[in-house]
Amino acid sequence: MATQGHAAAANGHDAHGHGDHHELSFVQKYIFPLDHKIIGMQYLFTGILMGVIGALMSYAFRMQMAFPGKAVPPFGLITPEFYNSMVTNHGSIMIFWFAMPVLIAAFGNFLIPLMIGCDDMVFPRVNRLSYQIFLLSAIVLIASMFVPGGGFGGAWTSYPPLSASSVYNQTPYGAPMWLFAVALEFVAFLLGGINFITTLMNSRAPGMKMYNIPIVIWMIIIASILFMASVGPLIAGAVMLLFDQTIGTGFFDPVRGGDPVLWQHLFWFFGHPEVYVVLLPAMGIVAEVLPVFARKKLFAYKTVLWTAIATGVLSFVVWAHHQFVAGIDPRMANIFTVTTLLISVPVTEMLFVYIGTLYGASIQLTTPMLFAIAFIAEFLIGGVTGIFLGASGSDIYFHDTYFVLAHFHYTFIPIAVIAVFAGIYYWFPKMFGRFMNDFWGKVHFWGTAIPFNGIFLPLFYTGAAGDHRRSFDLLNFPELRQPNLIFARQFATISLLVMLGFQVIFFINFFYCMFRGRKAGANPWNANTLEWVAPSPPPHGNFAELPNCHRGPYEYSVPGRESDYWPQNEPAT
Amino acid sequence: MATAINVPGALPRGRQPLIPSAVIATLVLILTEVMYFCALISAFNVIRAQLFGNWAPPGDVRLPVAATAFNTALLLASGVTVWLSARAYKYPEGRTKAQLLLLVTITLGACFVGFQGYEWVKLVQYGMTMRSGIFGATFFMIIGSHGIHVLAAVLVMAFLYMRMLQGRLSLGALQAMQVFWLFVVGVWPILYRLVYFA
Ligand code: HEM
Ligand SMILES: [Cu+2]
Repeated sequence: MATQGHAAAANGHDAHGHGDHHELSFVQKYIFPLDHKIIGMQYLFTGILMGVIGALMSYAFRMQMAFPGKAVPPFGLITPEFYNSMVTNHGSIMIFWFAMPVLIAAFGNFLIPLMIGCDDMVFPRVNRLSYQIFLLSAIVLIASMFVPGGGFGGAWTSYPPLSASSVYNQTPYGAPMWLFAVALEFVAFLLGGINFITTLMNSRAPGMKMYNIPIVIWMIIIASILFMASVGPLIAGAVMLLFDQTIGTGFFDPVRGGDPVLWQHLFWFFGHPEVYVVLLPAMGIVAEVLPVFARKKLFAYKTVLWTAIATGVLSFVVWAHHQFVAGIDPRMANIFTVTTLLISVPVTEMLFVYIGTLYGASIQLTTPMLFAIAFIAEFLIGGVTGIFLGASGSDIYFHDTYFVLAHFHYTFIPIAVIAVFAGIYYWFPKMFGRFMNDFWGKVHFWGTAIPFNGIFLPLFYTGAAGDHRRSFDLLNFPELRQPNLIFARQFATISLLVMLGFQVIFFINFFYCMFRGRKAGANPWNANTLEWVAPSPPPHGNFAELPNCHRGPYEYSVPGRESDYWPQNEPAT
Repeated sequence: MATAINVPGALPRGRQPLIPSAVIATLVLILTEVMYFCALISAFNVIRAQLFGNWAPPGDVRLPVAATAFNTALLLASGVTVWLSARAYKYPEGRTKAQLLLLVTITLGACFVGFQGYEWVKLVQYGMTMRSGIFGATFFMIIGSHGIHVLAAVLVMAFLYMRMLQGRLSLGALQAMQVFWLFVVGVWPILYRLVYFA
């Protein structure tokens, strides 16, 4: 017993004292919170704000692509330096400051304690620190665009020697600040990931066995482990790159004995698992939404779980498919082609399982369900086009064209936009105790899903025709001046404007319904998982009485039961 | 931790963890650390292989192989003492022993950093710096990364030692520290072999 008493003291939670529900001041509650839900909200709002900034950047450079040389309101004429900096920071923001904080940190913080039935994270103060470091990193990144020389413009992959020396990249302050911001952000997610994994191990509701844990929690945990295991090499690379930039070592400078391809290995060893770090939580959100609105058990729970683990393991041995043209040994390229094609097997399997869940179900087409189904359909296109890039032969042609760009946006938009919207519409009643408007939700859905295809389908075409991804003005190339290519680029840009316009509906709906929406009860969707046992919105400490777990999370329409759902905390009679 | 005691009316059962949270958290951190050092080791090998045998310190600098062997012995000894300390701390009657052993560990760790710092000053005086060439850069990168870990761990141990004297140190925290220190000690021989005998 003595041991356990010590353990409780070790994590500092005792000082926090959930027992006394004393009133906290506004600053304590919302600015320096320890409560996982508020920290989750901070991550959500910061992440979405960064996402909006990233989207506005895409507006700037897409206008330049479609109408090169024309002034873009409100930016004016786009210079090449500004263009590069916008593209670089757009990519970095969308992956590191939008997709990761929202999918992992926001949903993870909000959902993990609620869905495993406990009162808070194991280390609340570490959790708060994680957000504060994240916020600092965001501020450093934004600031890096306003220093002398401008923001870093060497792409989110930051390849040396371009990135390693300001002689080449012309951004003596922007480049190190960009790198520093990324490093800070990693520290924030390290702290968060440690918290998530420890909380899942030590704070589950009694009775919640391995196969009773909701899939979204599994996915966030697996993603966190992937992140923790892959980020070490990138941190090492980032430190070396920072030394190259600031004190002039030559780690990545071939003239001085270094090796630029070494950076590519260190970066992609992280970079590829990273795409699964964001994919898996999105898959998890969809896995929660589908059974609830199909009123059907999730088809093949164990298959989803084990294929997710298989994907995670495989994602560590495919990284060099980003380097087929970097001069790697062709025999190596063959190996990485095989592993890359292999990894699409478990991913496909997950999609099949989701389709199997829909098969023969009585589907309710609510807004979250529409987004969840759209995720499956759209992500499929992203995954299938990955196969062409994974085959080293065809990738030599496709590499660094708009085809690659369209491929990964067909994976990232379903993940970071469509699945996130599914999650927000679905958990909004739990977050704020009110519903979002379903009609405007559906308008927003169609206004997102259709223009999204309008943006990126044409880019497959222009990419295959030779549009280079990292070019400021494609009209410099005579063979890219064909009218149909110009039209396709303009079509994509107009679609982007339409899609951005429809997001306004979402924000109005969101903020209006936060205060004025229809009131929701504790369990408005008749769902099974434990977060719906707590009141909406859950108070400090979450549950009036900590729940126990009696069954798996997806027992819908069980034959012989009166109601078509069976909450996890309800004792069997 | 979500011990049921914290919440009025909750069922007081089934929420006691098997492994202290601090230890799990440290193990997860070590996962990242292991990958970090793996990356440095492979970077070292990649860079060295490209110089086709011309891998040598600048000028007539020689790495202090023998002195560092002594330093290695100090560090390995501290791994044993931290283990004994955490073992003794489990029992009330082992408290003073644990205190003493932790103090020995801290001292050994501090000596390691101190000697290493001294060697570094000499190396820099002889003209081997991070900018003197790729040999110096990789040397200071790898050995420095490890040195920072030792330094940070020694500082945290000193903090834990103070809490121990006040009787406020939990076993879980000490065990977590032990796990981390054993990691720091454990990678050192690998790095020593790699860098000093290359
Ligand atoms: C399902 C199987 C997948 C396969 C076979 C695959 C394959 C590939 C390949 C071979 C490339 C390199 C293309 C090149 O640069 O020439 C690539 C690029 C990329 N993929 Fe995928 N991919 C898959 C899934 C995903 C997922 C799920 C995501 C994101 C969540 C993703 C995000 C990206 C990104 C961001 C890039 C571009 C990186 C850059 O150069 O900036 N991919 N993919
Ligand atoms: Cu990849």
